[in-house]
Amino acid sequence: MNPGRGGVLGLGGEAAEIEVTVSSVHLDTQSSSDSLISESDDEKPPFKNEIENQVDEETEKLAVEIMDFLISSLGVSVKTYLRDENEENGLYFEIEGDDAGLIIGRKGETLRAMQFLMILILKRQLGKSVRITLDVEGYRDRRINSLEVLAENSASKVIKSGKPFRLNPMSAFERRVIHVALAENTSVRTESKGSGLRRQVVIFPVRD
Amino acid sequence: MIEKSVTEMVEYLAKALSENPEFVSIDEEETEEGITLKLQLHPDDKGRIIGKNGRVAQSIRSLIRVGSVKSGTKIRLRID
Repeated sequence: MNPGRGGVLGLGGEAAEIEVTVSSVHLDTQSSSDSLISESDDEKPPFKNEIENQVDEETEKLAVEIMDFLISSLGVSVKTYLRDENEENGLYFEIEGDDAGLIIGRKGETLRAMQFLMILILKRQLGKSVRITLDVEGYRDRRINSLEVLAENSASKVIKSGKPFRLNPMSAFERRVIHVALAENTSVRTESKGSGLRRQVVIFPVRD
Repeated sequence: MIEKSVTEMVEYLAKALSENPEFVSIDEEETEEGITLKLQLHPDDKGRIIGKNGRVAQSIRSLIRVGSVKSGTKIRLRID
């Protein structure tokens, strides 16, 4: 590499040769930086699995359209925001406003229905599976917290009684929270049993 | 009117989820108890709108319930 020479008042200088490794870092190098960036874009690694988590503009646009349509036709007063930090992991909508509770529904039923229908429409219209997460004023986080508490309390009950304990039927997401919460607890093991809407987590004692 | 919008929403969802959206039509019938939305579809699409274990129809009804609460009118969905 040639570090280049400054020259005097910009005259008689020699251009520096630099070696550039393109990463996600923004390049300020004047010469040919544009072409370097676009080249690197062409070399995207192949997708690891079939579910595309990288969301393109078309998908995002349609998802926002569906969301706006549902909100306005239901006449609910809420605002939705697309959180952009989660791009690698599908689309993450945050919903807030006076009717937020109504959008959650009983035990999150309405929220899940909306999420389910949006994913289904995107699949039918665009032919691909997109991960969509809807969160109302931190409801999801609160729900995760209360499920973790439930998991711990139920596990204590199982350890005390030595008998398996069956939790209420839950969604795949909720069951996962329970499994993960008790994964490190060696005194119990968890298993999902039943099918469809009746699928529920059972906590078993582990005897040593 | 809000009920009108719920009707539009059901029509939109039915069309977006059908293979034959041109066969989708919806009628509002006013009864003493409220409004019944009568959704008509191409026979091949009925299963798509009802869904496995009725999950799609159930989800549409969940959203209708929100519209019901907002408008203060009982709204029912009938899939013909």
